[in-house]
Amino acid sequence: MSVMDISSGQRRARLAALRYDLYLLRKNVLSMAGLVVVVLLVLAAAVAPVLAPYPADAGTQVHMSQQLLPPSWAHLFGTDEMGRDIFSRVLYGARISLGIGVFTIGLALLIGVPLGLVAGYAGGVVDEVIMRVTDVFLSFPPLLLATAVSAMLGPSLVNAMIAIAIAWWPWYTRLIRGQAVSLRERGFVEAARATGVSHLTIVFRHILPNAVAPVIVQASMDFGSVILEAASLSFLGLGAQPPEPEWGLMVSLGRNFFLTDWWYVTFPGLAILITVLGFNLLGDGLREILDPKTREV
Amino acid sequence: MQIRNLKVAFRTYGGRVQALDLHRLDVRPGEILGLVGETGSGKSMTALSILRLLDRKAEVQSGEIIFQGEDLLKKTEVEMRTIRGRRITMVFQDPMSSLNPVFPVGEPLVRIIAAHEKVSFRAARQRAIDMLALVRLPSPEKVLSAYPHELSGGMRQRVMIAMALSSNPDLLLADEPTTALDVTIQAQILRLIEELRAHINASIVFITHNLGVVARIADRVAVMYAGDVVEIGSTADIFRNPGHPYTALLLQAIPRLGQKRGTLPVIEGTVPVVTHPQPGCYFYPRCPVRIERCRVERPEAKDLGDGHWVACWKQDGRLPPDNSEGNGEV
Repeated sequence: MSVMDISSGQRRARLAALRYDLYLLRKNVLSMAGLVVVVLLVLAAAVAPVLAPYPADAGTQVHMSQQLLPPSWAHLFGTDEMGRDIFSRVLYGARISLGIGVFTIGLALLIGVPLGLVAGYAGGVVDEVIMRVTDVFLSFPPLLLATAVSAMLGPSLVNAMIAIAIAWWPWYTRLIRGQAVSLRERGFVEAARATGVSHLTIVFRHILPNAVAPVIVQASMDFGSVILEAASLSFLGLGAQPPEPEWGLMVSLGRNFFLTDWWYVTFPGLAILITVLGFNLLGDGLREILDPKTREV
Repeated sequence: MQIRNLKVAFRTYGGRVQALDLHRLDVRPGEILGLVGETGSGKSMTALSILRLLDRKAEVQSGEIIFQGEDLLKKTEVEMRTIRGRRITMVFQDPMSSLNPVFPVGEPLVRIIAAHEKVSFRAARQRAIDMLALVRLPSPEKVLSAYPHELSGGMRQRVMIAMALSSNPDLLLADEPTTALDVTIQAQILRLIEELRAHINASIVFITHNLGVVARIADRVAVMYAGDVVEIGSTADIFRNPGHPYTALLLQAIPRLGQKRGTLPVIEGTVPVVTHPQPGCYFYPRCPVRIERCRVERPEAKDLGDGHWVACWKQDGRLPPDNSEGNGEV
């Protein structure tokens, strides 16, 4: 490229690169399916009040005359023991699940990324201490740790999310530390030091932007796992509390009616399954595109 | 700037390695000092010591680096930060990796200028464009917003030089700035540095292992061996009248135009890794003119006149005539 047309050509080139990435994503049927699921989920969450036939059923509304009706055109997914429309509740549940994903992953990143950057850049004792702390956290099964923390904080959805983030951040710390360790030795870091840039600026302005790609992939894959984990906590009674239309909680409440009224547990359960699957497929696709080793033409 | 008795050691698993044992090195105002030596002789270590950017495994044991009347080794990290990039700047060897791939190359440049001159970003941007024009980059305005991968190696090194000069430093450390470039670009960069001398009043320490480069641009030359300067003097003196056998051997090893085909003379062996400091001259094992005294006693630098200092017991350091036959045919 000649110097003359860098800025216009540059924008065009970057747009072309992005379109090519999208093309690669589309080419892979499974990751495309993942993308479709995720987009539908976001749409469902966004327009839940419009789409849901009985928006009030997501809350405290009770219809004692319509208890446990099987799926029909009036109630696509049937009704629960309070006579609430399960379809409406599942739609609203998408909002909660997405919120859980965003909040929990965000919190885990907020804790994990700075610690990983500092560990990798500083090295030595600091690195050793931070990494051994992550080892301690990683030595617990994540659900057990989250359960313990959640039980300690008291059962509520927010506490469940905090608990999961506490169990989750060490993965990001490890991931980004590895990046920081190799980036630290790069010429531009030395050059930045030689121009009098402070350590803090180097870590966040020079190393972080170069280190985020694998973290983005990991976070997108973790979305599904985190939603599943939150559902598990809610199922155990440590997360969302009735009458919140949280999927895991709905499965938990519905298990009493499992043998007689199959639709109660099935639809929230399917929602969890499809959501987790969608995020995992999308994450896989992203990894394949962002990792030069698996990127196909 | 004056360096006196600077001792730097590395802690390694094999024990302490004496990387620098620099007795004396002066840089005069406005001069270009060529710092030459083999790989591992301590050239880059000297530059990094001045900026106090040594690896954490390195340890400054003693000595002083006097810059504008102040000892840099006594400065705090925060004080050093105001010196780095402002009063002392550095150009690195590899322009390919010295620019952060995620920023347009102009961004650090504008930032440096804005911070240094305390002007608005708009004014700094104009100054940055001027700087890029000064280092002879075509369409500087376009280059300012280009990403590193859009520029060639030579262009990137020009950007690095612009960055190093943008704060109007008093001392510029150029660590093999042309080594990673191909020869035609090397020549352009050297010409650029020669041209820029008129515009800047910085002293330049030009680190290289290429004696041809030194001959072209340096006012004075310091030859380093095993962490110390073994000879320093004006470029003409060093090239016409080398006082140290090591310098003489280095000069013999330069291929010359018109030279008949044959084997280039080599200096047998490598620079020693100093784990246990010896009393004698470090060049003793490789020296063709060694005497017994060299093994037991470290030579002190002696003045041969006109600021030409040599650290060798055989003060004129001439090689015996039979040693120069290396230029002959096979």
